[in-house]
Amino acid sequence: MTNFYTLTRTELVEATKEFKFIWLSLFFVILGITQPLITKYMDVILENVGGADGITIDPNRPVPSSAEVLLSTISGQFNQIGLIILIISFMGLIAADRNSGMQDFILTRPVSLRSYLLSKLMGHWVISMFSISIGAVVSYGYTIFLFGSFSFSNFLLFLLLYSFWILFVVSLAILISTFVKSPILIAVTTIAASIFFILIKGFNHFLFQLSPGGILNLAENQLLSVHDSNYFSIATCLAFILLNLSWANRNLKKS
Amino acid sequence: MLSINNLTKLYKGSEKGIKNLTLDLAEGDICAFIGMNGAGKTTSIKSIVGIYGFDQGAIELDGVSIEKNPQEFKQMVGYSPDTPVLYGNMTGYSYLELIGSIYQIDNETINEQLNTLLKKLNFGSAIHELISTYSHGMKQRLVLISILMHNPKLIILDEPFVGLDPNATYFLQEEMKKRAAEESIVLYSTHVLEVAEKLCNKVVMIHNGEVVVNDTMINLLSESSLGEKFRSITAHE
Repeated sequence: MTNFYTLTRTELVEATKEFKFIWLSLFFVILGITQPLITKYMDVILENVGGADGITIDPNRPVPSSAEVLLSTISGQFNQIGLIILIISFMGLIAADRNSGMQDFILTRPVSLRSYLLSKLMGHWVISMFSISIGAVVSYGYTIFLFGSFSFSNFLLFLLLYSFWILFVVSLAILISTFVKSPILIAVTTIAASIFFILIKGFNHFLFQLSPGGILNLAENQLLSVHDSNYFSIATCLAFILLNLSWANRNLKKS
Repeated sequence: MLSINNLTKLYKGSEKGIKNLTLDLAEGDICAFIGMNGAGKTTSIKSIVGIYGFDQGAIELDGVSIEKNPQEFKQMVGYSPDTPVLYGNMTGYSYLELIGSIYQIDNETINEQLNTLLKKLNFGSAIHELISTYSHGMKQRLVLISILMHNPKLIILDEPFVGLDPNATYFLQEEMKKRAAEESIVLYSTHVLEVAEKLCNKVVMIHNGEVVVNDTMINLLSESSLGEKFRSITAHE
């Protein structure tokens, strides 16, 4: 446990020195601001930017609720562009260690593979959730300012459940890193697998509920105040995370 | 006591690696691992320190198996690779604090050890500078300090003299003798045969993954010098 704490702290200190907390947070803040602003001022933007010839914006269009705007920010922006950038930011989390020899450095110390993998998971999850939370809170502020109030406790519950999804994505990147050496290939595979888990919602809802992506549905339900929620997806997501880590542990042991 | 029994590690799809290495080293032994580039020295060392798994054999230190109790085994080992790998964003001091924390050494002991080792290795105030600004030799010296801090039972060094200045080389040789006298076991790979002759009491020569000499230095030197023996073994290459 002490080594897990030491290695996690090292991950976080390294990320701080590489300004990861700053640039990732800035990125999510920009994403978080963009969606509510565009939704509110689309007609003004089109008017000023030009190129709106032939486009008619219905002046009586329904104003989206703050919940809908928040949902489109997180599901649309954070979970697509944001997720891709996040995965690119930690694509080297194991591969870089292996290529630089840092993995050898760690594995010749009295550190268990479990502590090593858990420190990677925890370190990158904290970095990701710190940045996402900053961006989401700013987005929340803009959204309630422009579209009306929304329960902060529901928003926090949403973020909490969304963090399980991010935990799963980090564990997936860790697992893929134990198969593939090239960071680019790790990123592409992790992005493709994550998108697959998001997209199966459209193909088979039952499978989606049983997949780690089911947690996204549960999270979104908190924003839409849907009470018919499947809390079983928390257990499913955690089971997939454990599976990823055990598999990664086995791969590293074998190598 | 380090006991290596029939260690075999071959790379997938290749005959390269190490075959049937058997070696017993007692407290106080300094053993040189000698061989041409690619002979299997680093593979053996990386198997002994736990970087590589191996195909067959057993490695035990004081009865602790690296396979069954890897953490307990590694707690007793200090390993320096041929190329030092360090966190460039850290200062030398914070790196040593990290190592101390991994081995669970308290701060008082870390500072005591550091005062002695830093003086001997002429580190001075550079210990508070970023590692990325260090020369190869300084990195090598920092690694040496980091592996000696927890008083390891087994010290394993992969070509440790490369990049060291004469003072640091002298320090390392003296430290190896001192640690051996204090009941540690030292195993290191080298191409500097003249130093090995003076420093080591045991020698292992590896050629094409096979152990061709595994003897005491006294026995070997009674027949020929280390250089002559090495040249006779590798003559056909």
